[in-house]
Amino acid sequence: MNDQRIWENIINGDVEALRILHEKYYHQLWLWSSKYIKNDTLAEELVSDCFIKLWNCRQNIVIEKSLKSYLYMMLRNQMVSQSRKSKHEIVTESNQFPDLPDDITINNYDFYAELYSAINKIPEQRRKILELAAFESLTYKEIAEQLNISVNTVKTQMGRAYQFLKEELDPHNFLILHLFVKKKN
Amino acid sequence: MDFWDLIAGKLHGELDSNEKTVFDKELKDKQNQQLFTRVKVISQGLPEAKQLKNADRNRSWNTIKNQVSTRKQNIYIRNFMKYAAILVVAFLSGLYFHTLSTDTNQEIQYAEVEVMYGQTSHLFLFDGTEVWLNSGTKFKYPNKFNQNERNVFIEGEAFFKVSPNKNIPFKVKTDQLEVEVLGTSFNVSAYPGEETQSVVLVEGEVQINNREGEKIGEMCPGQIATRTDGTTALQVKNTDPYFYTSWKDGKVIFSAESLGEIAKKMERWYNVEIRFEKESLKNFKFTGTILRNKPIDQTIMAMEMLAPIGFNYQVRTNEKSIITIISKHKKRQ
Repeated sequence: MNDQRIWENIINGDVEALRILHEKYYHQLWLWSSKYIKNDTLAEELVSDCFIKLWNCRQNIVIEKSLKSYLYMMLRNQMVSQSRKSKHEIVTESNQFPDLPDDITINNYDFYAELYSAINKIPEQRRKILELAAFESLTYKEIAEQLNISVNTVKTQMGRAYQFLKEELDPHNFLILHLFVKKKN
Repeated sequence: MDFWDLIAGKLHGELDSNEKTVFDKELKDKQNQQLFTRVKVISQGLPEAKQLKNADRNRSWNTIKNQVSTRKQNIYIRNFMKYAAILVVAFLSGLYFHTLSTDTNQEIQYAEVEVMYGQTSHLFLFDGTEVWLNSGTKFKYPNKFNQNERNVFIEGEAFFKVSPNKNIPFKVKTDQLEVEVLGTSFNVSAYPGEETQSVVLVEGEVQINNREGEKIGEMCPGQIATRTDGTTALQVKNTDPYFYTSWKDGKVIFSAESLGEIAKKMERWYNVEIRFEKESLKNFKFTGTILRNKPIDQTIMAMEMLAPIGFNYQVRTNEKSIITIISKHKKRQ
């Protein structure tokens, strides 16, 4: 469902549309705010509040650019008012309020969020291997020891993991893949 | 060992010298080069993606879900508390008032308000209900509502914002209908001499009864119920309530309304008598807004510009002035 459609449904009072919007943008927004807010729970609260506000004011909100940039703007405003309440919780480099992210930054955050959901789709054992290598910086040998498998297995599983991510993020035969996934359901 | 394993090995510094040679050789291929560049970008995004392990999307959604559903209820309750109904009612005959005085309970004292032509009136009933009365309207209400009912009587047109009280229904009675409000705001229009009586509901919930108090229909906000003289059926259709309620703010809106109808209204607002030179002139249709607090000649000037009509005045001191609407084409001949 595209954002315009989602927004129309939200205006009409469809909570499910709000849920879809939340699922689509929660991670990006949270990740961006976590650059300034060192308290994860507070970041979560501020992002959640954006969606609650959006819902409560849906009849009066005019989306000028896009729903996505509107959400970033709301989140920035939330951060600004939060920093007025308690200065130490918002950390910015120059002690200034965070600027609104530009389109490139917004695209990057979309990419991180997509990547995160792609990682979560990797079969569990393979994902574990990737996470140990990429997140914990373990060597193949250390991983093999920890999981009690051969280094060769780690090698091929790592190759498969990257192949999976690449295909998940850039599905060149998108239609076929899509149909296949649909059939499976 | 396939190219994917080599890419992964390269990115994690796990290639031995042999594998490095193979990788470099493979990388001479343009497609492989592109692929490697892309996978490198993906691997560079992994530390950011890792951060998201600390973001609890489900917990956030649960918080939102609870908030949006409880808020909804609050708004509903708040709106309900504000008015029981907003409604407009109009009546047909003036006889009702007289018969009414005889068969009402002796204990209840009624106050009667009659709004002169050319004026409107605004009053509060003691239960908090707000009422606007349009020109030429008679309105009758008890000095005190009793425990079981809140009954008011109207001949003409009125706009109500009824104070909610679940236990005591608010009833607006016309000579033909009874509007039973379950807590709302609404407009009632029932002038003598007009063929139809109408009820427009702006907000809340109302039920329409016949004179005997039997239910003949119900309405949703944004609907108009009309009943034409001599028929029993009630017609309910969707409408823009603003057309029917704007009068209370001093504006009158017409949507393709005939000059004949408009003239009837102008007679009431300006306390004049309007005559037509020819019956056919009544059929001109007008759409627009008139501000009632402007003098009548401004309204007339505007209408003269819109249609080939003219107005002749006959000012009388002790009686209503007479305005005759004439055809301009004929004048020129």
